[in-house]
Amino acid sequence: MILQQLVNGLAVGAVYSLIALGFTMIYGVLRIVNFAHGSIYMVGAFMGLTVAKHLHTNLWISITVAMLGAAILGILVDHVSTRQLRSADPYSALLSTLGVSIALSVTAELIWGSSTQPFPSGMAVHTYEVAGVVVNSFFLIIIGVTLVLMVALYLFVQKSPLGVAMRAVSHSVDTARLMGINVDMVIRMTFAISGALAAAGGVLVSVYYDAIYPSMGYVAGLKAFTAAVVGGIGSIPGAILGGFLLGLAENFGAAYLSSGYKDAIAFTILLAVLLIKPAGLLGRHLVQKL
Amino acid sequence: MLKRPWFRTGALAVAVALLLTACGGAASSPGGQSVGAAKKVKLGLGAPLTGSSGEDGNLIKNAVVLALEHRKDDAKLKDYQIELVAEDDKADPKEGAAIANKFAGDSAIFGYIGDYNSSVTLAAAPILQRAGISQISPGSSSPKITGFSEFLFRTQPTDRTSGENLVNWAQELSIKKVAVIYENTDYGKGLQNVYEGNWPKTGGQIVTTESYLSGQTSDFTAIMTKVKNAGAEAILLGSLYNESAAMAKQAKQLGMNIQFFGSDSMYGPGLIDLGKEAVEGFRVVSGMNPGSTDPASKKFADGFKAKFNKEPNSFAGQAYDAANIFLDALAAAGPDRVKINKYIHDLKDFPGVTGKTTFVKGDADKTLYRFQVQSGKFVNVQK
Amino acid sequence: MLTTAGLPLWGRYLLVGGWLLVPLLLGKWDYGLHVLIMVGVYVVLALSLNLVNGMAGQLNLGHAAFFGIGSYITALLMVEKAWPFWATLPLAFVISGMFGLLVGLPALRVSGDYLGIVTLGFGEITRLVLINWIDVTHGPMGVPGIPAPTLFGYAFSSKAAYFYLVTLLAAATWWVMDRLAVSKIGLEMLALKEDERVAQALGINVGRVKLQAFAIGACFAGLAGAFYAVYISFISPDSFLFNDSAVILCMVVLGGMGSVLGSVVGAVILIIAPEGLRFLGSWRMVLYGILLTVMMVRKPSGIWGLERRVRNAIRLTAGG
Repeated sequence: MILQQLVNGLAVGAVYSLIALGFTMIYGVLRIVNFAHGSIYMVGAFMGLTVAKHLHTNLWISITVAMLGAAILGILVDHVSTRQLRSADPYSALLSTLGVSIALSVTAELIWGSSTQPFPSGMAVHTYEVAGVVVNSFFLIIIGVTLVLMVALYLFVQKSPLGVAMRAVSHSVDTARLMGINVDMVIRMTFAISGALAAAGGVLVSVYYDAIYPSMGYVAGLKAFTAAVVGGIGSIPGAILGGFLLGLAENFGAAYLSSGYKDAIAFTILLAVLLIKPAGLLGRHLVQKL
Repeated sequence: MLKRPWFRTGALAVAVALLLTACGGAASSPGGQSVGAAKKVKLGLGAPLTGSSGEDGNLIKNAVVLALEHRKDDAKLKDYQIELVAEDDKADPKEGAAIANKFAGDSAIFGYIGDYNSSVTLAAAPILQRAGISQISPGSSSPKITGFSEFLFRTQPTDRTSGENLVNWAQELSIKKVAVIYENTDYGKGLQNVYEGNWPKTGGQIVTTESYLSGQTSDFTAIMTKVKNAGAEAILLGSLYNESAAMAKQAKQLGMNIQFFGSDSMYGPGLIDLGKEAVEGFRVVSGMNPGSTDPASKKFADGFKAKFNKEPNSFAGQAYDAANIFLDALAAAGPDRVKINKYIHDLKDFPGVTGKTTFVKGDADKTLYRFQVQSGKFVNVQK
Repeated sequence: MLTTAGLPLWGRYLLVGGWLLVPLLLGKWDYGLHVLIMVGVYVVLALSLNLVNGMAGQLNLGHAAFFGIGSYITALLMVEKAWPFWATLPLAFVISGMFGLLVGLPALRVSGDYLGIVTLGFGEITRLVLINWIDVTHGPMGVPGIPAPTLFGYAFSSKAAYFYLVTLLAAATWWVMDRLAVSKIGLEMLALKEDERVAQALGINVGRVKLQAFAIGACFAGLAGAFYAVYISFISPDSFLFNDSAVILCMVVLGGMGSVLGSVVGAVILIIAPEGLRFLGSWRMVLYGILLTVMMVRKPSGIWGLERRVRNAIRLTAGG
């Protein structure tokens, strides 16, 4: 049973990580909490659903379309709600993105309906059993896609010119600007990438559970946020670690402690980590900006 | 020097006061104005039209719309021009209270259908009670509703009726070990209590009891793995269709072969759409009349499909019945809240699409039918 | 004398007198009174959150939890132990404040968005405890049948009585917050908000100020909760969600962080406007979201912005 719960937790953790990455990147670059992130994740997944349903495409095309759509949505969210607030206090951005989040989720309900819908993947599910542990093909896809995206992101941030610019901006906006970096462009790209990652997570979750509904963004956003903070907000490896940790902790907690308190486990870990190591597990202590 | 901001506040306060008094004047004018020959009356409705229970809320609303349409040419109602006022309670008790207050002050309102969530129903009930408005809930199953007031009724079967029926059914199939899984709401908790009170009496054993938060849980693998290891033969559910479908699918993926028993909230197309082959063999009880022999039930089911391009579920049936009870009351007693309340109390065996309704302490003692999902359809079964 | 409520005396009398006559003006129109009573509840909530978020600059995203704790204390004591409402009121005030202290503790270690997440987590945990700790809280079933308060043998039966009671509570809260804003504590909070390190350098015990802000804020939220419980007569965990914390925060921000009067204005607008916009149906929430964004983008300092308060404070210290 322990192994089975481990496998269950890994799948959930992989998706938390994907969404947490977007949070952490935006926070790293802008020092703002993007409350609309969960809604972008949800709308991205619905865009994937629309393509899958009406064009009968396979999973890979749905994911690609969803990621592109959510990247554009991410840029739009930045354009309407945070672009003007670059120098304002972080509250303002938090609340303006909260506004976007409310508007997006209700609009999504009006477009796609509020009920839970199945997500056609166009694939047959295969189940494999190894030493009493049951694994299905979607689990392998989730883990595979997540790992590929993470490696791609890592290479991008470390090696590509844009990635280097991103790191420069996250270090200091002013210095980056002095060095001739187009800061607005970098920020826009950050929103695009973070949206795309969230949408990939959204489609994967919807396919894995074969269920998609408009209110899924709220909880996912909250959990991913927690994962990002636990790992050390602003740190990419931190977000990945935080996501997996949270997924595993929740599953083991539900299995061995109490399923009713499952959702409290995330927050209890969060409180504990913050009190012991306020910058998160892998976070460097952020110098407060003056 | 600080006069300006105060001037602004003052102006704002005056504007607000004016607005409120203006609206007040409008709303407190005697309701039921005559328009031509027909008297204008209103039927109030509160349900979650948005949010995670929005699907059920809209089915409820649609069923009431359909009921009004079906009775449009009813000769006994020709004196009235009936308007449906549907409000979104957002599954929030505070919204429910606001809506109830809004209706309480509108004398054209002759009855109230709502709410869906028990917590919202119970927040609205005392306000409607003071205004003398009868309230029929099509979807609240909490035991606290029984005998709450003279004005609160429900067409929804109680947890006790559904739960005992399911327990008996599982016993008849000589099942010994069960797991109980419920959502952490008054609905799920209510069923869990009935299961825990009745299952041991059958000589069976509850091997594990698990709960989850509704509307925000999609991963049930931890719970299912636990159920699998506890060796349960069947699961008694206190959940809604979407999460039940998710459980069935995840159980199947974990290689489990287990029987599911659920209450009437699962009777509807949603369970099968979502669960597909994983919900084959799923057993539910519902008050929905299974026979196509009953013309009224057939008219409802066919009418619903034709108008909204969707299959109705139990809540839609219960809302349709609630609307028809109010329309009968209006026809017989006129738009007088006291007389309508008396009519509902005196109602005997109202023949609806969810069985016969007589209210005892506000509860309708329903006959439940047994259904099993067979080849993607709910089939009425005995066992 | 020039506080944020620096209204000339005659103006105050006029406003207060007009307000007290409202139940007469509205007559039997209970819906209008209900909306105004909810305005009163949210004025208290917005004012108390403003102390934490606006004045002291400590991001709190779980304020509805204190509102809930206050409601549950009053509801459970009245229903289970048959306590009179007036005895539960101070208890709701004090116990909520104690929880405020508890939540304030992490603020000593973390700040900014981190604190926001900690308080959000506290809000969620509170809700989960209310749902799961069934023996005490009745769980998701909620607590129905909370009796009406009685005064000199008369039970509160009309909305007007509740209106006057909530007016009293809101006025008291407003008065306290006004006093606090210009008191030593208030100025210390302002210093903390502007710059924690400078405040520390000035010899302010930053930790104590943070705890004070959380505790006092929570006390008044608990007070609002106690009133809400007896007014609505049924409470359940559904009423104290993150959404509710967000609404209270929006009031504070809309009115202008740190401004006492602003919080009141924010509460008035955000309770009355959604009622007036009911006819929009689902689009109401879309509009709400868009307005919030536009407001933040166009005028992040809110209607009664902080600049005003800073100016007031400067004027105060300069002009005495």
